Amino acid sequence: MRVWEQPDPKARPRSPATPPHAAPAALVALQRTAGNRAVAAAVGVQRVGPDGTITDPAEMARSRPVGGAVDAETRARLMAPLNAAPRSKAILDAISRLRGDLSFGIKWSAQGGYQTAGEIWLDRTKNETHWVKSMAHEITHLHTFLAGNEANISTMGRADYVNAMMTDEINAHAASYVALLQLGRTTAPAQGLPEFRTHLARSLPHAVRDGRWAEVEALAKRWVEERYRTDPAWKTSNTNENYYDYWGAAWDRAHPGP
Amino acid sequence: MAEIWESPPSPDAVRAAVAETGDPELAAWTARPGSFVLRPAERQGSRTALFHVVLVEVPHAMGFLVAVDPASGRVTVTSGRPEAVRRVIATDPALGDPASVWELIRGGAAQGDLVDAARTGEGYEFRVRDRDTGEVGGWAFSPSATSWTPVG
Repeated sequence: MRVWEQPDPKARPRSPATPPHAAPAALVALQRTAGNRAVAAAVGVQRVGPDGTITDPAEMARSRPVGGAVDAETRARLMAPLNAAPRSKAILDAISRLRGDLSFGIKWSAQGGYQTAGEIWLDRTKNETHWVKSMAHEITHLHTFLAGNEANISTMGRADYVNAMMTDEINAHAASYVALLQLGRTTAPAQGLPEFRTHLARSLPHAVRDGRWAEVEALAKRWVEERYRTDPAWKTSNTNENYYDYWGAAWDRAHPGP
Repeated sequence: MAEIWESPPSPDAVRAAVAETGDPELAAWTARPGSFVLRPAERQGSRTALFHVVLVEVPHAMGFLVAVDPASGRVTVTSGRPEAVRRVIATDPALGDPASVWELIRGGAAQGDLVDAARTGEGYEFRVRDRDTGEVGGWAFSPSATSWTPVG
């Protein structure tokens, strides 16, 4: 049975033990030519699953410290599918125009996947399938942030703040659905994707086959908004309430009356 | 007489509680002025006030729970921290029912919609539905332990 340890952020990362048969020079050469996973296989220590999953708490602390940068190899494996999907590639291109590059921070999180202050955090307990789905969603939020269109609870009125938060989230869902469909990742673990595919098949039966992606995305936006407005299953995970009410209540707290 | 949840802790008191955890992610969440607000939780103890720390710059419903002892003013982060939950339950047995314990402990890897919660001897078991996959998984929590366990 796996044990999920309470994270100890103060713990110092431990260096991996080097097996006696693994000559450092040979391992360095293998790492350069075939990557870290090949090195792990060569030394007979499978610390990271083939899909990127880590179940050993000590290895998790060593390889993926909370707040630590995602390693270059994993980053490349996540960016490749995003660049292969025309929808997420377009968002990345727009991010590149705003930043001048695509070197935005990607960090390990113990809490989930999200974007804040121009950096994307990925759930370190998940795997590459989840991370690609998460990145396809979060790059929309990153673009919103870089474009200066992020919701601001201090400067916006209540209705504008709620609308900005919800529009950004709905747009992120819709763009990620399109990217995942373009990649053929139809069973990706994205909230609502199976139900949206059913709705899409009924509403625009040939749109995916014909590559009418703008129509698919517009339909997805309308469908996701309807879920957030009316579906009791699409409630906040922390307070169990409708998201529009949730952000409105947050604004009220930030602007206490006399 | 004011209810115990009517006086939320100050932002600095929340930051001090976060600093005690040593968690760099929670520290980053709460560092910027105005990056979070506090809302009373639906469940409250008889001697302990519970507040959601709600992030307002991330368009996801993210944050964590803090417990406040009105007598001492002590603020404690409980989300994902078995030792803190153990102390809260010991201080305020009214929060020892399974659903309240889930509210106190959930966080980090253990997220999702609670399907059911039950006592198991001195501990608790929770069945939770993952929002992304729809799969139901389980978590076991013992107040005497410093970790909790996925039970499939």
